[in-house]
Amino acid sequence: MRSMQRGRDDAKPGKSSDDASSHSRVLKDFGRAAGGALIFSLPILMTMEMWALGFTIDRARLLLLVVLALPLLVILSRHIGFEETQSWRDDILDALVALGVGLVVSIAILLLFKVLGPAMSLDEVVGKIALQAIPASIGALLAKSQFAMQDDDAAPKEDTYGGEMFLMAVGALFLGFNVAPTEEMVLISYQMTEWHTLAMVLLSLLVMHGFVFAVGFAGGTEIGPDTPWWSELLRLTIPGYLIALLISVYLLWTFGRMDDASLQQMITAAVVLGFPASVGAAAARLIL
Amino acid sequence: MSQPVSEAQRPMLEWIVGGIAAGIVAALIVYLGYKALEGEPSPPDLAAAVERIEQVSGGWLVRTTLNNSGGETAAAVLLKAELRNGTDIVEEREITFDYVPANSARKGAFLFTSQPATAEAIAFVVQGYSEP
Repeated sequence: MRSMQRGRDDAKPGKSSDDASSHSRVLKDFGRAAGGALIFSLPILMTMEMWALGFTIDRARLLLLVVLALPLLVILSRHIGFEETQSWRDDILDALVALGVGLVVSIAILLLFKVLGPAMSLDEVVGKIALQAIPASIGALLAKSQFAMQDDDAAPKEDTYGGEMFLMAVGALFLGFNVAPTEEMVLISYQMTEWHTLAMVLLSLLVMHGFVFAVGFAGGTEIGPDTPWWSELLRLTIPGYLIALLISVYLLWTFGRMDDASLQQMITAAVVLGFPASVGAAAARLIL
Repeated sequence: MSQPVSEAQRPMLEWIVGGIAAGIVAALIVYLGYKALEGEPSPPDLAAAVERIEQVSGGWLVRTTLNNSGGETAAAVLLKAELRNGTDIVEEREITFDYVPANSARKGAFLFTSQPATAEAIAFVVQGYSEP
């Protein structure tokens, strides 16, 4: 095989350099994706609640999470992909590649930690892998485009309002997913009084607005000097916080943390998870 | 949209989304404020009940629900179940619930080797709890 390849290379030197560069580019892409999957999912791969959730999570909820992940990856690829002209077909391909890389990375690391073993049922193994592959594939997709920014000359995409909301949702999902499965989320909510909860809501809003403000100045596009302070607060910060809260509720429900809980417990837990989620949401506009 | 736009030029949709979100977040703040001003929550109030009894290979499984109707969360709740025959205690079992949140229920199960005649043959004693 190698000698055949070399023979062909010798015959067509021009073509061979193209081949080599496209090969190394594909390799680079996969490397970036795998690196991103690792960076973003290692904390959660090393969280024991996630291993337990692999077999305790309600199967219908896990299925819903997996089913929702694919369109999320496609739209994410659409929004942060490096080429403006990318077609939906490319986006779907990117999403599938990210999912594949996420799966491989998750399986490899779980095997390495001996979280997966021969004595386990297929159901348990599939549950553990499926759950971990989702954050890993989001990481793979984010990294693939994030790390590629340097060699990309294309003009940044125009941010639409819907796009901004979507990016905030991804940021919230991202940071939220990393902490949502831990027992600490509910434990913190048990410890807090309503005053603490109230303070946390206000702090989350304040932090988010700080980020919104910073991005407004960094980009220099959205906020004009005559824009009143409440305009950004009402159009970006508060909807962003609501998105962070909704993502938190969805994650807590998926991980079974909302089962048999009173309304107040649900709200407090959502506000607790909403704090990191809102930071993630606001930071996403800066980073992505 | 690379030029600053005046408030009137912003799409209506953004204001509608913002308005709805502001309404919901304001409702959340009002709810929490109301709850906070309500005063000290009531202490954990724990009561256990038999949910279902089934036969398993190790004996008899008594599925149990522990309900906390108080306003505070109880942690490390030690629940004892006594299987009685008349006034005699035939078997005793204990389980620990990590958390039983305020106004919430948690489930567990006791394993007895002898068959409980009825659900009433099982008496529960909540031994105590710690604060989370």
